[in-house]
Amino acid sequence: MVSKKLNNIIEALSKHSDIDSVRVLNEIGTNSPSDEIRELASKALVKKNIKESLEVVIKNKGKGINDLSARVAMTAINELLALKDKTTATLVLDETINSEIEKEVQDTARSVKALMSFSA
Amino acid sequence: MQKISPLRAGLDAFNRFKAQRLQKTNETKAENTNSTNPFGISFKGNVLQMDVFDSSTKKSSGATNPIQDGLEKVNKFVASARVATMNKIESIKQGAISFGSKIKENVVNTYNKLATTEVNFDFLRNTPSRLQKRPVSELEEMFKAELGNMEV
Repeated sequence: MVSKKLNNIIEALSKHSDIDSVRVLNEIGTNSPSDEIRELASKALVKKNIKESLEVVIKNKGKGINDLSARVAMTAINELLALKDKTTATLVLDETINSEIEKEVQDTARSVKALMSFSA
Repeated sequence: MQKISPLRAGLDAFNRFKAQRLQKTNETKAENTNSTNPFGISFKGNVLQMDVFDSSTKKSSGATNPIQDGLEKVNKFVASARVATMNKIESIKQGAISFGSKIKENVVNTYNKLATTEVNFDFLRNTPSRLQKRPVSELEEMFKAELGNMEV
């Protein structure tokens, strides 16, 4: 069970203006063995809605929408679909689909992009 | 000489004894009557005894004095009311004592609790809006510390 304080720290990092907060969320949050922490970190990175943070949850295998935990992946996808401004997210998804990354990551990005086009 | 059977002789002797006894009893009664009733007042042929005067006096005085009756009733009522009031006061007193002891116990418990309680305002300091004003390095340290606490 994540403490209230930890929840507040992750939320503060998601709202923080310093770009270094992405690094902290990526290194400590998305690499945590706890599903709950990874879920919160992915959510925070999507909420930041900047290219650097979205790349972490879209392009990396085992993180964000590519997480092995279905719950974490679904939370990240839901958060992406809930974004008001999806421009940056669409751009990152397109980059992922067109880049030479693993096919599995490309497929996931393609599926999420399809969902985003439906929900828009 | 007349011949008397033993049975007849016994009966005669009994009759004589009975007559003597009756006479003695009447004499004693007359003496007693004079001593207890010096006025010799008779009612329907019977001499009234002293006791009769006493009891009739008592009865007549009770019947003819309604004020005294009323006073007695009032006295009884006051006495019963006093007892009831005393009981009520006693119960109120007991209730007040138990209430006081309960309050005292609560105050002592609260004091003990306060003495052993450490007041901190971390919940006000660690709100997201306050935390996001801090440098990321500090947040990183806090993040690591909290993760360490979670693992423990």
